[in-house]
Amino acid sequence: MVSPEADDQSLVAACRLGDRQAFKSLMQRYQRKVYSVAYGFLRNQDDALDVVQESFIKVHRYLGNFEGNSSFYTWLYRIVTNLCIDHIRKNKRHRELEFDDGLRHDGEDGGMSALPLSSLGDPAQVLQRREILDAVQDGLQYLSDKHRAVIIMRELQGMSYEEMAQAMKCQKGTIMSRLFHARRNMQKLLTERLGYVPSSLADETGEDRDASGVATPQAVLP
Amino acid sequence: MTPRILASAFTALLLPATVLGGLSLASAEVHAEVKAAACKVTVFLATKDGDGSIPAELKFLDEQLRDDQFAAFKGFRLLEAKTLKLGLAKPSVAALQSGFQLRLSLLGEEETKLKLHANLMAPGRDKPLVDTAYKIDNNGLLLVGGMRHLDGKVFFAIQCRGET
Amino acid sequence: MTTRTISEQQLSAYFDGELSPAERAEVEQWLAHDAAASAGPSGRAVLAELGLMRDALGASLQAEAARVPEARFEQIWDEIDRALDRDTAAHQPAAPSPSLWARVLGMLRPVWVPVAATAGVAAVLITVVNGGAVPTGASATNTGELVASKPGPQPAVAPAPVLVAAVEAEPTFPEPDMREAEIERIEFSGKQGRIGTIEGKRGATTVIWVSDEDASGGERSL
Repeated sequence: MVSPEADDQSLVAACRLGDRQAFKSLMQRYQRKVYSVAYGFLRNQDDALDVVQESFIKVHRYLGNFEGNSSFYTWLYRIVTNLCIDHIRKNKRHRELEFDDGLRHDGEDGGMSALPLSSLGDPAQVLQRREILDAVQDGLQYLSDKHRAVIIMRELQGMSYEEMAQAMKCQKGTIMSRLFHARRNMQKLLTERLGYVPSSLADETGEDRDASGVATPQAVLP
Repeated sequence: MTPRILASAFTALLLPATVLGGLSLASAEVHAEVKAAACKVTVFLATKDGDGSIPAELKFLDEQLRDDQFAAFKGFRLLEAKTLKLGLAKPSVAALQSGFQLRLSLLGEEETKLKLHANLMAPGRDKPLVDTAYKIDNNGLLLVGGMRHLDGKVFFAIQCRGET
Repeated sequence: MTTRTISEQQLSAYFDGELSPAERAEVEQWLAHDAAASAGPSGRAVLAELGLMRDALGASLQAEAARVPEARFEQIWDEIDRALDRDTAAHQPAAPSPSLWARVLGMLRPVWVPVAATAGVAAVLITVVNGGAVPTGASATNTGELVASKPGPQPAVAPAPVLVAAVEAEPTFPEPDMREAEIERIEFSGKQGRIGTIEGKRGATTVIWVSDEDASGGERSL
């Protein structure tokens, strides 16, 4: 019997031989990661858990199709992504408004020169602070479905632009641009939420830090 | 490669072990593809008259038949059920008692979805009523229909699963 | 010293490692000189911020996943087990059998099946697989499951004996998967048709409505 600590490949091989316990060990290895991705997409615990369940069942059914050309988790993630995108598409119909682009940065926000997270100090500390993590969740909430999708696929799943283009059925260039705008929107949201004023501006005007009415700093990139 | 694997399968089955290894012939190098599919075609009639009940043979369509889109229909009955076997580039035609002809082909597969082609001909017509190429999850269900037939409208429920 | 304009979008793509070698070199050259050239945060600072945002996303969603109690995942596993049992039952004839061996010997008969590359005939090798898990109660799955394994590459060999289980006259179908179809191409015979979707609790089903020559009264439009 294969040990639960065996590597993915060995567990997959055991699964193919019908070893249900190996299947469970393999899936338990990924269940919270899969949940993270699904929650990132769907913003709802129950929906995310549904996706965990559906994707694992799919994996079991189609393990024969897994060719081993990619790593197992890449294949698993693709299944999860497709399920999430299906879910979103299905739920979109019930919404009255098409939140296709959602929050749009207005181009006046200094672009990516706002550094809401870096300005908070030691990165290791920053990542531990509850209010930062909450702010990130809120940011995700306000992104449009498409922007959120590319952010999750890139930042959490490490998918290439090509893979993302296939998942979203669009051109690679569209992904590049979409991801860029998604990041800008995230930064804008975090800036508003965390009350950041670009330090260059604060020095110049001597004003107190204020979350609102941030004036446009000079564009950074020549 | 195949004969060797079959030989070992045969040997494995002869061993009086309590744990028998099933064999997967899909090794990492093999491009495993769905090469055939079995499709269950259920032909049913929906009528304006009826008590709204769904017969046992159509229970698997319960959710669909109770949807708004079928609200106009109060009676349902099974006309015919057939299973078609499709191969890649080997379509199968169901010549149905109703006079309609449904031709299904397996075009291939993509990840966990099957690619299928369906062509529905009505009796006495040259051009197909509908000709469509679609992608659907393995074991997914597609409904086609709405044509006048007998005392109601006829529908085809097509459920295909890839054979491995 | 060049001050080539590097767009923010390029920087974003650089961060993702999606630039061509030439473009990458350009960005790196710019990064080396940029700190002195511009006011405000440097290109490197922007990249650091993107990295921090990525880490924050990961940490944030990991925290969300940690919120889900283990018991909830166990619940999902019960559902998955049930679904997998249903899957394997669908491949099996309903008749119960006294012993594993009786079932094996009864099911397997050597059959000559010509295996040719072009005929598209799938050689199905069905073997009996022991569930392998510790029997829990009266679970039927542990007494043996019939699992259809995938055939190997289409061999261009002369007909080989293939062990095939007695093929049932009518293949059994499990409950259909409620997922929309993706219509890639559709033609109606000159008359109008439409594609609708039925959304239910268990999923979505695509319906292709074919209209008759005569306008049918009482039919709802979508």
